[in-house]
Amino acid sequence: MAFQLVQTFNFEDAQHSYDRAGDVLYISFGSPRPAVAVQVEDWLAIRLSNTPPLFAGVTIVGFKRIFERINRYIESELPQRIERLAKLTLKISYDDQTDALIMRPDDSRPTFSLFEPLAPNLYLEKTLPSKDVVGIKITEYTRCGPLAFETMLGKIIDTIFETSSERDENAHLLTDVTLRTIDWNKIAAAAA
Amino acid sequence: MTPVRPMDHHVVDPTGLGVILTEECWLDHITTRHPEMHPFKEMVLETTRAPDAIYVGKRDPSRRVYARKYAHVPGVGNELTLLVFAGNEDGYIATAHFAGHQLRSVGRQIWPSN
Repeated sequence: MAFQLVQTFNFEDAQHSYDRAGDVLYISFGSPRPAVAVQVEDWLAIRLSNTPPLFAGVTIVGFKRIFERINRYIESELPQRIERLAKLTLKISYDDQTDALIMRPDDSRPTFSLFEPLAPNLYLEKTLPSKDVVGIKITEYTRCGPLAFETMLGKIIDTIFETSSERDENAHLLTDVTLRTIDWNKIAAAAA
Repeated sequence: MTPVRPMDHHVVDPTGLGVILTEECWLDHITTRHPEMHPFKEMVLETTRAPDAIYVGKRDPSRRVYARKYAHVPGVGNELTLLVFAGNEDGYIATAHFAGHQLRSVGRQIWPSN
């Protein structure tokens, strides 16, 4: 028997506070709540709460410096493509028979799609024939789920920061899709 | 940068750098945005004074990151690493939080030296 979990991210609930002296951007989903961080790298902490909803917020240390790097990526890689998505509903489906987890925007229901490998046990779902990215699939989720999430975050970070390394087209597509969901006007205002 | 005042906390880290935690940073930023930190100001100071390790930031080398593991943090959890972020030159603490997991390197370890 398969079961399904749906998590909704409403970016309108996001509250931010920028500490100019420390150059730290604090983002919380709702009011700030006690949480423990998953430290991705020195600059990025994802705050997880032990009470629902799980995602409590994000803390970005050295925000202006980091934003400059991301903004440079956007300018060079995504001309005219950044749009504001005020509300993104991410549907996360787990099938316990296949032990696979698929994440898709809720409004994305591709008629025809294929899965292209991004890393071991990690796939990008693309529509046919346009090949737009519409989802992410993790196989052997019970055993490989945390590592797959780590790999996915790593691919996005390396795409932004390690511009001299060999171009990974699917990692670029994943990064573009991720960055497209961010309200850059709000972020730029915070950094001003 | 905020001027140093008597009510601010000063410690010296193992490399000899003076580290400063201002009341504004503690009250207006760290404890407001990371409310679980409220009872643990002394742990933040202890982590800068006697860390397990000090790193220079991987993506932001103008930062140093102090890390110290705590077996039990009352009301927060067990086996957590307190991370404190400070300016690599001026020593002002920018933020601090407990991390349960560390996915990738935070930077180059500068203390203790290998």
